Amino acid sequence: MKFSTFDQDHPPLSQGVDRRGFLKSLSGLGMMGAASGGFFPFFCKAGGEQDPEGPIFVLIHQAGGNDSLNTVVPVDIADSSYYYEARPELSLNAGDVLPLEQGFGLHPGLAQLKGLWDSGDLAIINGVGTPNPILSHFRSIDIWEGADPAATTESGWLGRYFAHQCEANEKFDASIGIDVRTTASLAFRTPGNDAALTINNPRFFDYLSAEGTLPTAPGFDEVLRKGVVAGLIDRGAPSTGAREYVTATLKAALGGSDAVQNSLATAAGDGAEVTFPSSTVGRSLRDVARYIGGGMPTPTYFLSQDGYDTHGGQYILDGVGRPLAGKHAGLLSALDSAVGAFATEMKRQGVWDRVVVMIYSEFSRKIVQNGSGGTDHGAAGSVFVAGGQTQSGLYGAYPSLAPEDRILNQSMPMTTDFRRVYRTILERWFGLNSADAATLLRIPVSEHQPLDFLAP
Amino acid sequence: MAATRDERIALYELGRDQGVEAAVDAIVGPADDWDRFPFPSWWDGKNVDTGPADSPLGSGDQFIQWYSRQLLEANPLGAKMFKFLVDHAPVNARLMIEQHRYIYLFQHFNLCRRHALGNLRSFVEAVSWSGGMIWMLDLKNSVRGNLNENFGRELLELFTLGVNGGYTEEDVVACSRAFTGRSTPIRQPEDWPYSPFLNDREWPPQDWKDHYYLYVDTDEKTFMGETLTGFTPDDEGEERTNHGPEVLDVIFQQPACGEYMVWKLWRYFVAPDPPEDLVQQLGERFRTVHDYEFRPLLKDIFMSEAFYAPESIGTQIKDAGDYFISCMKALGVGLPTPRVTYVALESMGYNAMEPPSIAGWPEPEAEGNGWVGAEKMLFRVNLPLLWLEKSFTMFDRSGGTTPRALYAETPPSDFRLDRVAPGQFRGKRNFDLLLDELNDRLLPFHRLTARQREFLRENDERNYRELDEASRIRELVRVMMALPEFQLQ
Repeated sequence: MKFSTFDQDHPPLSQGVDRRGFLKSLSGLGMMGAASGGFFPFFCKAGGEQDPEGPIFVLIHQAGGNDSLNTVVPVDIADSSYYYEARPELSLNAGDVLPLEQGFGLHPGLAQLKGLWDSGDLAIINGVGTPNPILSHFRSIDIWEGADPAATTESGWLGRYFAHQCEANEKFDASIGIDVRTTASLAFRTPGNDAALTINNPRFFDYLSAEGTLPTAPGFDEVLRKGVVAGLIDRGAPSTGAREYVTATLKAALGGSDAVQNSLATAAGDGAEVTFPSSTVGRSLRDVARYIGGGMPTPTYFLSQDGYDTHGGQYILDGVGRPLAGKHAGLLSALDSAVGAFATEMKRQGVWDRVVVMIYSEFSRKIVQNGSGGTDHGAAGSVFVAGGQTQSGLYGAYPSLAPEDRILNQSMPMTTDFRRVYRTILERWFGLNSADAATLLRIPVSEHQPLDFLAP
Repeated sequence: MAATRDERIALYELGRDQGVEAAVDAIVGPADDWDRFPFPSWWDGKNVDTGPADSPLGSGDQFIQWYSRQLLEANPLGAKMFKFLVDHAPVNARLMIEQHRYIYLFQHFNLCRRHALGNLRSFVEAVSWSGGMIWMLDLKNSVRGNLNENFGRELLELFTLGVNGGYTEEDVVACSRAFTGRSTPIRQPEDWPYSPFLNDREWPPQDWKDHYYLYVDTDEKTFMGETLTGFTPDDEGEERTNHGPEVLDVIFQQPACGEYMVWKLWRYFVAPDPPEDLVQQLGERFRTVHDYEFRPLLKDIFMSEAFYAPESIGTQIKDAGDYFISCMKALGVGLPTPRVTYVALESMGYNAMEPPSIAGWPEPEAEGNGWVGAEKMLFRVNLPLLWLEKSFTMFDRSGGTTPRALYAETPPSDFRLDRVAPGQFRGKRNFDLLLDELNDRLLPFHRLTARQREFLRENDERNYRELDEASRIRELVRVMMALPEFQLQ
């Protein structure tokens, strides 16, 4: 990975340079964001504008382990009796769910997703899992984000993709992602850096003025101050390890802050934005919609919705014993209304055909309900992919629910390796060739073929 | 440990005169001083009238201020270990019943600080009875015949053995069965029957047999190859509650347990990549020689050669707590108002009442460090404005509707220029001396490069013409605190 530096050849400031001259000298530093055309100049040679035709990928992690069995519900399939036996209270009946096809139904809280299904914009991939599953949240998250069943990798699947794109293209417009979470994920990590800005709340995402205000219209002093910090960093000793990481992150943050604030200001000026729900996931998707609408060059966003670790309180029975309320129903409804608003906003912006939204969890839950109104950690589950060009339908075989087929103490076995989903995204959405996609996923090119939820 | 320059000098002189061991003993030896930081009067809900105004049940701001004051002012090693244990077995206030939330929080944090320089096994045992943890990991719902694996799994994976600790899925089940029957009384606080960790002697409670006969799984089970024989709670008055203690016996016999904890403590105190043989060696001593006592283990760590290797110095990214404390120590200031403390720590990803998961807060890795994503990095860089410029806007999350006084009240300990930049260094001619002073104070593990000094001089000369003396120095301090090196320790 090559990182361009601020100004290796920039002549040192001489005594007596005034502020204006100093400011002018900074224009060569490549850190003034959109002003100089470089959004994320430290990662690779990036263009400063959004590709108006380019793909956009929004990844949503249902953190904690979503109960897939009550999300894509097998109400009327050959194995349904096993489902009802294993969950005397926690099972949904055919009359409760939103019917899909082949005897499956969606949780009743997923009305917006059902709407996308009906309009041909939602694919559901069942039985997705990792080989040799480990029922630890943290290891499983590393497996998914690193695309590495051994969970030993130091880089993420999206980080490797961006690194590859930077090496392959002299000018790659779409260089990085935005991690709309509070903590940087492994998914965007590359050796020595994160190929993403981690911004959960962009309100004060800038180097503030001495008065503590946001330089919304970057004035002389603010630009100057930022430049002093950047210039000082650049004159430091060569850095390795932790210092290299901190340095790269700080440079990326300083360099990206203008583009972030400018895009938000642009989007806010639009005035016709769809109303998003006020939930955390709703707010995050609203921010993503604004980045897209405001012209951020990044094509990739990652966010997570916490709370799916429903060992207890997963459901509340209503008067006739239906488990339609409780934590799980609340989470799915919040997700559903946020994704629904996002899809509507993307359509309003005229970019829905450029968008793919993928929703997954690090694992699913056990087939049997536990003794405390919930479910314990399980293995394989279902993944959702929505977008204007998504091919609606059910993909991946639904796992057998028969007791003799269960793994890891009552969990569903995998039918579809998770890397097939990633490979589909890399090849059919980002347009990589098979060999490159397989290399990035560290799989033989002949294995884990793409699925057809996106057309070849 | 975010020590001030004076503390570092004192330690260096002690080490020079009496040897490294004396210096290490001076760090490891001092007794706890937690009595200096009593609970506020409202902690148990009995004095709600005198409690904080924002909630009759307690106040997150006050709780975090109480905790932060200990990090800043308590015996430094005790404070650092306190923070470690709060992270090692964290509890989330949102997962506790609201009426008892602050009782559980204070009790849990109290057991963390009381065991901070104590014993790992005692700590883990106490955690399994902590009301906060019983809610956090669903122990209250895990009963005979209706198992919930949440606690059993994390006890093994996170509190003692590590994810590769040699246990199987069957062991997770056996462990979970062994810890069935924990509960917390759902009564008003004034009827609180026992407060186990304010006073360990009150355990077990009077009515334990009735309770456990119904809920504990006393059947025979096999855990990590050991058979735990079944029993009935009525057996000859034996005060045996469940198989939990026996499971802990087995856990604490595993070499993996000592090694996992040494690995974790090394990463916390030193650097992200502990040498493998050292982890094995110190882990073995921690288990067999020290019987899981923290003080001798920490002495081992601080006396080891690897602790003084270049790759161990200034190579760790400060976590949010350490960063916050180090700002105050560098600037010679005290805690801001409770609201600002709360928002500052939360903005940097550290709300001690609400861990992101049972694994606690981000791990101290060099690469992909969860503590310093782009947003948090800029927040850190902007944070010194609080003390240098009395700027509070970045703490106002509500978009300006919160009463400003909540944020902008004068901090108890104001920033004073002469603590950081003595008058004689402020003149133009003494700029080099000023830089040396600030370099020592703010970036003790790094020397500014010649190019950086030259750049700062040029910038300062321009500021000299345009800013008054105090503004000019504050600007210089802020820029130096914005350097990546200030993020490291």
